[in-house]
Amino acid sequence: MLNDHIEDHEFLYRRVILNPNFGDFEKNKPTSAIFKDSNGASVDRQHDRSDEDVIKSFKTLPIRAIVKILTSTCRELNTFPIYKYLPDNIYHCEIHDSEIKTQISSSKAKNLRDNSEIIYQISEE
Amino acid sequence: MIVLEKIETQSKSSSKPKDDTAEFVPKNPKTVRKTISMSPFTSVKKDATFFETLDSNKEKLNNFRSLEFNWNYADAFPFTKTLIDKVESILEHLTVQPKIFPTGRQSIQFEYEKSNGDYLEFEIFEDLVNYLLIRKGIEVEKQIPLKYINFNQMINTFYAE
Repeated sequence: MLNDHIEDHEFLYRRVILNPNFGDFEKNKPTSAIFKDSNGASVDRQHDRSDEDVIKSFKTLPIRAIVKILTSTCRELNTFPIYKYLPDNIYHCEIHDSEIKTQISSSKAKNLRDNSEIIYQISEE
Repeated sequence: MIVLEKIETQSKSSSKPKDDTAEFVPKNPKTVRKTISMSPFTSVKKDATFFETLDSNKEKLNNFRSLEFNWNYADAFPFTKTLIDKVESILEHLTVQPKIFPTGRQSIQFEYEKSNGDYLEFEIFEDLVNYLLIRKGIEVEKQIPLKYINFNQMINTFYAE
């Protein structure tokens, strides 16, 4: 288990799965739909890892892409990143809409999408 | 008269456009390119980068039917038949096909985006729709019952400006 506090400078990583097909990434951005889970948005924190380390860990599952967003940006967008480690994933976190609301609104999901960066993707073909 | 480049599918399937406002699909490999003249009304879509086809959206939707629990590796539940059937029916009546995406909260998202950043999104649940409209930097987000929403009116208004 890591420190409960996610540092502002840590990136949060979200995988975009291979199936179903999430299509082309318009303007090199993912769809905001990837930030819409029942439990906020499931992400992994960076902690002391490099992008390459995270990519390697995510590639154990079939993925189409990996996007990242800074924790400080999430907070500036009035979302609420929270550390929620799992027995099989000590890096697991969730981004909630706010401290009191779990599911992310459409507007905030769009803002997360606009401020995220694709760091890995395979072609659609 | 405005001249735009229109892409027509080779198949004679049921996705044949209901009017001349649909089916501009520059990225579909199964398409034949030709130039046509269009009525001024169709110029509403000149700002879009490309559009999906009803066929391709139905194919995606059918794929959603087979998704099982944890399909996104984040504990997402499968989509209900009721939702998929409703979404399919909505798609069949749209004047402009959206990009469609599954979410991890048992909803299906429609997206329209213009090159100037204007954005229209519908997140469709079994009985509700969350819509997000961003136009000229002004955001409107609302939740309304599915039975009360007029998709085509909103889409046509979005592209008319």
